[in-house]
Amino acid sequence: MENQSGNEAREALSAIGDARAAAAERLVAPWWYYPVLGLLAAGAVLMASLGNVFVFLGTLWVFTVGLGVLMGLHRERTGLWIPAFRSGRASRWAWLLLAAYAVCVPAAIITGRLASTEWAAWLAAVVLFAATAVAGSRFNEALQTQLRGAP
Amino acid sequence: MTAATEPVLNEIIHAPNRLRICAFLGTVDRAEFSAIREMLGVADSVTSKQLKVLEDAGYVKLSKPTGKGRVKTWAALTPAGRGAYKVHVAALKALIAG
Repeated sequence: MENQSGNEAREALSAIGDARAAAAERLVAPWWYYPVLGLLAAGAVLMASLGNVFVFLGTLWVFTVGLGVLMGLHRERTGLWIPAFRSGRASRWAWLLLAAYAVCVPAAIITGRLASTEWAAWLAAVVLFAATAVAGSRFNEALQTQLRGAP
Repeated sequence: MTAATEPVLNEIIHAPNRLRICAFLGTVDRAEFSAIREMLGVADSVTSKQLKVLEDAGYVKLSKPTGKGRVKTWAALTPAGRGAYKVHVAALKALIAG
């Protein structure tokens, strides 16, 4: 093995690149994945802001189950699993989205309860739907670029 | 860097199919057996054999989560496997750099 030439090493690195590209190709989320996640989030923040405590708990349950089903479908479809928050540089989009949730959800609930207005809930729902669709798409692109890059 | 600290090629990882398995698993948390087989473009038996070698070396952990439907085998690189793979890639790059 000590006599391995530079050419053989290049071939090995090329094989590594092919394997990483194959993973990148499989990991592409279907177009509807993030919009559906956005709809779940938007519905959850609307119900949590406008409904009573039972509606809030029910909404939380629907969101959690929906998220689990979405992730399970993606895992079954691709045969791969990579946690969004441990995906290298691409993770920043997941953290950014989490920050948007952390700001919008409490703000909508508090505003809705204290001021008895609905506009904050609707605004938060629209923002979360758009943020999820955009950040999800960017996460996908960043992950593809990262996996196709140098090992 | 002295010769003693230079990265060296790992004979277990160096075999082409095992190198590709490590590269594939190095990008994700875990991968299902059929995804690995399709990536390699080889038969089930060949995939199993290569995964077994990596598992015996402590580089790969195989699991069969139970649940609904057919039981599937998932493979993941262990911390030791990730470390060995990184050193191997560094050794390949060092070879090219001369």
